[in-house]
Amino acid sequence: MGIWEQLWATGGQDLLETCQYVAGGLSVGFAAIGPGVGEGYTAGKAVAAIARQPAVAGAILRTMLIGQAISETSGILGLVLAFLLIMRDPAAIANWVAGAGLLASGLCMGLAAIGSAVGAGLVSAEAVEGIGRMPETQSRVTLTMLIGQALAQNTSILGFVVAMLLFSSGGGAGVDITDWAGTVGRAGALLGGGIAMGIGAFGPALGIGFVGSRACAGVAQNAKHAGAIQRTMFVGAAVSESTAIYSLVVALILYAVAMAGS
Amino acid sequence: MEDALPSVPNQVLSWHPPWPLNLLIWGYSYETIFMTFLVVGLLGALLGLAVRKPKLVPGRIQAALEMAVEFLRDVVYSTLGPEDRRKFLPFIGTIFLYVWTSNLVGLLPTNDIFEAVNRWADRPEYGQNLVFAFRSGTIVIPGAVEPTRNVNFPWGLGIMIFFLMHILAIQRKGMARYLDEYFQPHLGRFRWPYQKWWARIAMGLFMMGAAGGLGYAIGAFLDHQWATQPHVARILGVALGLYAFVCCLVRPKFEPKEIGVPNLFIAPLNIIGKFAEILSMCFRLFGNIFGGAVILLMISSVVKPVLPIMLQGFFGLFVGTVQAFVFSVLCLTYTAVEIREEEEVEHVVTTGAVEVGGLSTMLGPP
Repeated sequence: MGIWEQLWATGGQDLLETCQYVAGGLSVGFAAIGPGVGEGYTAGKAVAAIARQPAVAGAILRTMLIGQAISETSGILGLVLAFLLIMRDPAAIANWVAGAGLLASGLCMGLAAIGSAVGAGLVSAEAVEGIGRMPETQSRVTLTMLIGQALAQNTSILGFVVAMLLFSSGGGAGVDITDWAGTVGRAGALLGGGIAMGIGAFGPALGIGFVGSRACAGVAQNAKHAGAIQRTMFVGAAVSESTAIYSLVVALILYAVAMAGS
Repeated sequence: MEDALPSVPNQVLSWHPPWPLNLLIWGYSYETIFMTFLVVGLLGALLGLAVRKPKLVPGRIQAALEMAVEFLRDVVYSTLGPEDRRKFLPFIGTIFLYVWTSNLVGLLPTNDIFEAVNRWADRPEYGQNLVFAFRSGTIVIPGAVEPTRNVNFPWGLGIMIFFLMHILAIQRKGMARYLDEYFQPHLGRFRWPYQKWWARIAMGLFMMGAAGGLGYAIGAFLDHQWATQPHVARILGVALGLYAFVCCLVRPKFEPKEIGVPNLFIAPLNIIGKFAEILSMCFRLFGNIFGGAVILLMISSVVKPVLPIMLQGFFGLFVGTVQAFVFSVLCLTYTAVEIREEEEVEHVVTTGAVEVGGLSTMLGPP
């Protein structure tokens, strides 16, 4: 018996079970990229800032740790989805639509986590540099950093929401594993939704990271106008986020398309 | 006596809400609601005790509270205008303390204590719940879990904040300006000659079409959902359309001024964006706490002694505190941006914040 006959002997159940493990690997693998880069960049800027102002090393270190903890959020979300994917019962995948949903959820969460972690890292890097330059503006810079990082993470949170939706899609009731007619297109729709949200979250998050990093630098230079800078940052970040909203809309439409028949 | 005890103490009640409600209420968890009430009780008792006899020279608890209030006051006062500050400080402070305590309440060791008690009493199937059985029923006291671990907790707060900020925005700006924001960026500007009779009739016809279509759609939806009479849609459409036409004809005070051309294509994206910001705010809190719980569960099933405690310190204390603060600050800032007046933006643009801070930061550090 050839390899394909062996693989298809159970109607493809073995192949289907690989979906959730591959998806778990994709989720945590991609999600590990961004936090590493972002947190490392922040740490490098913190080292430079301490070399510039050793007197406020404690404040710089504290801000660095808070910023790193927040940029870690998207990595944690990827890890959690990977755990959920790995720990679920592989025999419970009903059909190929459900399998594609699992794959799509892993891809979505993993890809969405890259950009926002790097963006959040950019924000906290500028914040620690700003504190190194102007230690007396520390509280305002930290507040701006928190808001900027939270804005940069919005897209990965949207990715998490879509990933949870795809994770729990179930593939529709009454569809067997051997039913190919009508399921392949729906499986493709789920995959497309995951890819749309995952890749679509990359750029906006990086862009919001630029906005937030410049805002942190601006607040450190000109703390008197912190309120105006924060509001401008908010508006700019909202405009920059609009393309991620496009992706969210397309992902939800594709999810609705895939689930329409069931 | 032992036989009378229930076999499944978890999930005492389960309630699946009917259709329109299940979009908002996503589930019911006895543990979450119990822990929420516990948090409210703890917080009320602690704060009530702390401020019962305020002194001029504060004691230890009062000093800590005063520091917290001052910290929050700095944050709120630097974000909001002078007329909103005093109203918003208690609100934001309450949200922060509530979410913070909810994140920290998972650090109580009652989970392990209840499990040990159950093991000692030789009924390990009760897990981490303490069950008291009476003749008339049972009382289940669950072990400590963070209520924020359930998505309904932040989602409930998010619904409240959503309605609060949009109602406030409508109060501040008026319905027209509020709705106009959804159609921004405008496609251009034009001067609508509203004093002319033909302009009123043209606008009335347009609005009659729009409102009539809306009414018909609402009627058709009601018809589809609850099988109302089939002519409800037509009556609603005609009534709304005529009402809009008459309003456009006779509305007396509408000074002709330059208005923006509404961008119809951007409106759905703006509306989804408004929901997405609340959604991401809630899921950030939920994802962090839930993620910490999942990771803790996985790690503690592999390594027992030290690492879980350190992780609990990180996820419970550090992440819990930071995320509670981020949640309340985001709530504050979203509300501040939403209720901001239009003049204030122009003021911001013209007072030099952009020239001074913006240009030099755009050119990079000196």
